[in-house]
Amino acid sequence: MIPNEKEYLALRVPCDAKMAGAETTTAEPAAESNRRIKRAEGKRGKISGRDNTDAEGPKIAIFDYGAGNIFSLKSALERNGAASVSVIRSLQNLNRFNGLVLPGVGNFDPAIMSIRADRKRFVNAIDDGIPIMGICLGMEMLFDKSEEGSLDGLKIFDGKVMALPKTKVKVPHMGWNNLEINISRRSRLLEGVGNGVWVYFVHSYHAVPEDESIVMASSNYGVSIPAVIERDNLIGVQFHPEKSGTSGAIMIRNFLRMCKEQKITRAAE
Amino acid sequence: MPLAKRIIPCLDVDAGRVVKGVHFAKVKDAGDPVELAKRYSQQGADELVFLDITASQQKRDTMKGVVREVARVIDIPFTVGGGIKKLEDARDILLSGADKVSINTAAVKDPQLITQLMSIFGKQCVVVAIDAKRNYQVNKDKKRKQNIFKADRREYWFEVKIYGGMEGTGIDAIEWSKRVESLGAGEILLTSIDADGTENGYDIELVDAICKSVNIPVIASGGCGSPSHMFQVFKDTDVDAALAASIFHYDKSTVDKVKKYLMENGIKVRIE
Repeated sequence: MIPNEKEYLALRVPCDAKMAGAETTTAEPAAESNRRIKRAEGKRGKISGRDNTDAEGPKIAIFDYGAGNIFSLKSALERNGAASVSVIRSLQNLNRFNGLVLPGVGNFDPAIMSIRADRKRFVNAIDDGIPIMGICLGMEMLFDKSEEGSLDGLKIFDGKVMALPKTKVKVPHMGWNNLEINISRRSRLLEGVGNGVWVYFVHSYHAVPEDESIVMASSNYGVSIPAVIERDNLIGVQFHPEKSGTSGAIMIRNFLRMCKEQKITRAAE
Repeated sequence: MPLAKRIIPCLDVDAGRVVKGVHFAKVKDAGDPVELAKRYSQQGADELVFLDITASQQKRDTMKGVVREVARVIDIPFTVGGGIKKLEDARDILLSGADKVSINTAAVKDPQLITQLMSIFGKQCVVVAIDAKRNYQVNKDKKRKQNIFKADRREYWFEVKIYGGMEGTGIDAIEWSKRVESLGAGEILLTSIDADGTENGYDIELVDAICKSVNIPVIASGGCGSPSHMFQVFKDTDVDAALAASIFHYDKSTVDKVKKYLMENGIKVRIE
């Protein structure tokens, strides 16, 4: 028996509650934020040149489709230098944040349903240059459509999402695979990441972009899987950087650096 | 390109502390789960499995706290199993930060739970743990299919056991593995009760039979006493991962040493 819609909704996660953890604040009150900046300024007086203190890090939002565990992702962003990580259910007031992450848990149609009312805001955010990283399903959603669902994708990238070839390989593609980096292209996410590093995949579908030039790295699993796509400040990763050990941590820090640069640029405007 | 063979330390947790069962009975204290998780992750473990063996229902909530702390500190995937009876239990564990839940007895009692979990959280979150043991009472009347094996002129089949290996089900493990795959399991954690705790090596016969029956990843468990046992199971079967506990807990070996040994022997493993 597959849960009906009512049961499904009952199992959905209350936003900013359980998953985000009662012990961490999600939307930081301004007063607290100011205090932290003051604290950090005080610290800066003593230790100049340190750029990883909390208040100097970027503020990141994770868009929550309501379908699963994003605590690990939130923790990974915090561990690697985000000043705050908020779990959001709407893309309103996105300019409060320096970066947005579309996480990689759930199914295509429900995830699209949860974000499609905000598509225009999403496109505006891309145009504004806010760094955005789609992970796994979050990357697949950027395309026109997916064999996993019947709804249209966000149609940011031309191309479709197809099922992995079940006859050739075990599906889901679950485990550690090598990243084959296209060294002729310059990826900001992959700065300092060696060719062939191991990253952790969990997926049953893969993107087939029409514009091959956005593919910065791929992995081989029965077919060649676009593993990292990048266009300006928009990034998609098919694997899970938050679960990919040291190599994944480097990529998360690279993404946070992009977010921080965007923060500085915006402050200067 | 084949994936790296995964090395998975397993931590049995009782009321917030790591212990290891020998033949599912006697246990010794081996430490704090969060500390061990960090240590294994730094040593290059590819994944971790936590089995909650807490008997009392009240103390069970401590597991959620453990899961949360583990999720905060490590950057590799981890699975939590033990005592998950219903959808809400699984949901609590996943939302506390676990990447996958492993269900065993509950899956046998209510196979639809596998499908429900799959449809809400995705296949990749659903691990079905199968505890199997040789049963020498071969029933020829074929009401239920039994896949018969033969050794030393004795016939047997592999029976699925539940409640920590205490209770038989009459279900054939090979048939069950196919069924859980069709119901939506994303992975099978296969424990041989005959081999578990012996430290004489994995149950190659059982592991091979299950791997040949399904097209989802299989984790071999039970019997690992040395790195050579891991080499053996990877060489002789198509298994995706090897799980072990005691060889890591008591510093008999470390994850990095095991992986170096496997790599030198031609097994593809992840070394950063």
